Amino acid sequence: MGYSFLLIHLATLVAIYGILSISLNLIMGVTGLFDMGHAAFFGVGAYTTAILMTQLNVPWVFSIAISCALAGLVAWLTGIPTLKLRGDYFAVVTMAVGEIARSVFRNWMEVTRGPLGIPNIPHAEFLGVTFTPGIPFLGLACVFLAMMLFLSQRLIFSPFGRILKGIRDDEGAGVEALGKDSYRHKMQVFVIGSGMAGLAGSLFATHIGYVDPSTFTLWLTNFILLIIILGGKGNSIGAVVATALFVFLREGVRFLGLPTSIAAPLQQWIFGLLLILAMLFAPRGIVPERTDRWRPAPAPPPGPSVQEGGR
Amino acid sequence: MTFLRTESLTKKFDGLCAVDHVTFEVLPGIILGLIGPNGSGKTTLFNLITGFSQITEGQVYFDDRPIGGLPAHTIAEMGIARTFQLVRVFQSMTVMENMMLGFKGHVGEAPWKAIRRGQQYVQQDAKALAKAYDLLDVVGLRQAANERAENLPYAEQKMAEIARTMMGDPRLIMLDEPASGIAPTLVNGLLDYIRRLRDQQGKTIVIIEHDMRVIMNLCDRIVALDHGAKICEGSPGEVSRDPSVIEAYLGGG
Repeated sequence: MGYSFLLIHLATLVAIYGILSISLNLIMGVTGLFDMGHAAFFGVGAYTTAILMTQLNVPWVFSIAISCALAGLVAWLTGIPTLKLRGDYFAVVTMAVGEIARSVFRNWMEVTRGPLGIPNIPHAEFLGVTFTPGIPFLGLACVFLAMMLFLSQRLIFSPFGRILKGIRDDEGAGVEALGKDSYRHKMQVFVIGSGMAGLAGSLFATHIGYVDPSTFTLWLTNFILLIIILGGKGNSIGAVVATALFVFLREGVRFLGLPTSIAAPLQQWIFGLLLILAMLFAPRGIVPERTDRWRPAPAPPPGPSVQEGGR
Repeated sequence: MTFLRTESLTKKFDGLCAVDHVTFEVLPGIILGLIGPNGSGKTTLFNLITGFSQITEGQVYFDDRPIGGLPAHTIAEMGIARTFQLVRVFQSMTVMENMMLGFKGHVGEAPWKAIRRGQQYVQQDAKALAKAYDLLDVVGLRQAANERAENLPYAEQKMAEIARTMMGDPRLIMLDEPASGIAPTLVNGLLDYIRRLRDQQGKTIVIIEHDMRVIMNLCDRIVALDHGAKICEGSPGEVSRDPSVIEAYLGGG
């Protein structure tokens, strides 16, 4: 009983972090924007839900929607000055945004209760069904994971997604020459990805029932970054697979019965080792990025078509 | 109405004047060659016209409309396509993905339409695909459609890049040294292709090229630059006999 409950808890975390990985993959893996502040948007989603549900008694459906929108809005505001910057500058500025968000969570006592955190976040409830921790909430999280996976696949394998990959491949100049506005598309994917992170944050808040600032740190961003690199940059499925691997590894180490002084560094060791192994044996990740394939080319027309090149 | 015209176009980098009050005109339906020694400002001139570099002074008119100062993507959208000196196909994408990206005005460029995939989306996809295969047939790359661009030889990447610009139905095509890095035996095929664009499709082409043999038998008209300034303009015959051009190339006093 104890173990099965733990397994369900871990599976739920996989679903939630899976959404977070999918969202960062869109921004970083597909578009190549080195977003080092992704945890901030996860945090905005989690805190928004926590505050709306505990202090204002807003129903869950609206809370999650508002969390999503607010994370997207914060991303939009962040994006206006930063998305014109070149890669490395963007990384530095987003890292700063992450730190700012964390210190807001920590110091805005009246709203976030600072380091005390916000406890007693009610369960998700929709159409009279309460998604209690365990199988019901796991199911809900999986539904969202499936939706986000579907959404991201549709985005990646579309004209929109091809523009994103084009931006990644040469800093935007190439797509500009083809008449695509790189700034606009960077903004769109940044807002979509961050909104998705807000959604994951909202689910996280209702799953754990408690939020405090220590969750939403650079460490979390790095964790997800690692997942994407190992899973296969640009591949949403890889992101989910690697999330499962990492979450179970991370929590698994905890239950080996080792003292914390050994278990904590061991975790880092394992992650480091995995990253090195991946670089050596699977540089494109466990599930490498897939190119879009069209049905086999229709048979070439008879004879040289050169002359009828269309006039 | 003039097709493309630059007026006193100037670009200064700190003290250096890379393009110095260049005024010239491109008539529709011709191939215009842009020549000059290394560092004479040819590529910078391309960058100014296509919006990849900020103009210091002067103006560019396309269809009599001033386009100087517009963002690069807007200028491309208006019908000026360009290639780059170093090939710029997207390396991680397949040839076909590259081609599809060259298609202009697909509704699926907006994320919500990409998710929804309505009837219009499907129709445009089919149209783009058919067009891409047609263009790949012309340059002989149909079989390579699903190959990642990075796996193709350089010459084929260059051909793919030119074919990709054609996906957007440009009216003016600006080619920056298309023949560089291509084996001499393949250059003739490339030149034939460029000529066909003019003769069969009425495209206007501006081309930067170092190989004089290429320039002389391809172009209808030539503009010669040296140290950023236009030193001569005329038919290939006129330009090749011009003393200032001979001096710029052979390095007189």
